[in-house]
Amino acid sequence: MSLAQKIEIEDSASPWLMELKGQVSPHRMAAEVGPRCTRLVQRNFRQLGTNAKGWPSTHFYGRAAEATNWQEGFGFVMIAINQIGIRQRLEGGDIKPVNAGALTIPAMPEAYGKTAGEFSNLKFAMIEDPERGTMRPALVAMRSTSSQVERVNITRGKQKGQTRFKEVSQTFGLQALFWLAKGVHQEPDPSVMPTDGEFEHAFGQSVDALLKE
Amino acid sequence: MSDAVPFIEALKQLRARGLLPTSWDTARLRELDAAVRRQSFFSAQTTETSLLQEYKGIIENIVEPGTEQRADRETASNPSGFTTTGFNPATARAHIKDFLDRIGYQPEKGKAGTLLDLSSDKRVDLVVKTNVQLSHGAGRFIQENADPDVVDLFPALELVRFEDRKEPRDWEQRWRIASSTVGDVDAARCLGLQGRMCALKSSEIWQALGDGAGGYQDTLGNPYPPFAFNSGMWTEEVSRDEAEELGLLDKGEKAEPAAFSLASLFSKAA
Repeated sequence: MSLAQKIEIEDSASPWLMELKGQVSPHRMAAEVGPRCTRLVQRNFRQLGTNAKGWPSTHFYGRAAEATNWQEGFGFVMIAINQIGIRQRLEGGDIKPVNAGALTIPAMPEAYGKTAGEFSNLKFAMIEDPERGTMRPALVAMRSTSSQVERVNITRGKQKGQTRFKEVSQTFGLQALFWLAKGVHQEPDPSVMPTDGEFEHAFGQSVDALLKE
Repeated sequence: MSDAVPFIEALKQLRARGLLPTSWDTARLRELDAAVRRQSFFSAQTTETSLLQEYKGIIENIVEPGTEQRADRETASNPSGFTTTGFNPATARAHIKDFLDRIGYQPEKGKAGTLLDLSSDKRVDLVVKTNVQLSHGAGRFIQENADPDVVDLFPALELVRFEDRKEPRDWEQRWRIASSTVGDVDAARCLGLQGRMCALKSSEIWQALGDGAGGYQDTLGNPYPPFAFNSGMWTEEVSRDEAEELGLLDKGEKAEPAAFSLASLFSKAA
């Protein structure tokens, strides 16, 4: 005896697929991915430490986090960090003077985050760089006393584990405020942005969030 | 890595702000309607329109830095040599001080170097920083609230620290007072149980923080960061999943945006 089995096909998938399509429309996807990836980038900036020398912060990465936003395009989302210097930190490269004969590199905490033009008493001199042990061209000031800032780890109390800056007075003669350089090379720092894996993970979370609805 | 794209909402809001020269001090300016303050570009006791114009130009340049192509910046990941150009806080300060010098500004006797000296580092830094932050804060506030899909998917915000401070203000205390002032039990519970300052975007707590609920005099009157001068605090968006887990929202409950006229951010002060 022959056997036949009738299989009835009921299209319950199409309405579900249509609904799903609505849930993951390009705009809704952008509305998920944009804020999530903006937050990812902001959190990454918040993890990045202060400057390598431990000088009082100019809040470079905090400002970058505040400047992070997202924009929707046709079929894409762009996470933007509208802050000067952020691309340079990420990609590295040579920095050369544009409107001046030399770059001025801060040599003291009090020069950090300032331009040489903000000091009225600077003179050119060759002076020893204690870090390198060699003579370097610098913009110097004659000082009888100077404020140094020292980084101190807090070991007690509510702020235990954090650091604070303590002002220490020192006596000097000629003091370099800025080193002068024809140019510098900065190595790329990929940690400025989250990794591709972190972006992929965030994207996966977005897909999950949309499909869960 | 792509070329920069403008932070459209921040720029648009900044451009809409009209110059408001004023001889009023900060305390008196706080009496002005918050909407007028949001729609105006001013600085306490600054009557010089040209100075405000310089500031506004600088802020606009910081919010939207320029881009140029330079051969010496070409790298494998940046083959076109795109370079961002414009002011940073140091060059902005130098520019303003140079401008004040050119117009012959002299601080009043006994006020040099203080916040009342228009040319002091402290004063210039504060004006630049606060106004850049106000633009970014307004821009993000618009992005967070204007689109119903964004509100649905990210219905809440968390108050977090973006910049460290030597002596941070007690924001948890402010949060407790603000949540109690507006009766946002969920926001208070979130801090009490989870240690997180999270609330729905529609909560009035954000405006209360900006209004200095509890008598704080350092606030700026806005429902978005920076809630207070030099606070270092900012907001981050909280996803629906997290908001539901935190008990801010029931499962599938409709999320609402801030009860705030976003259009007013682009209006001129009357």
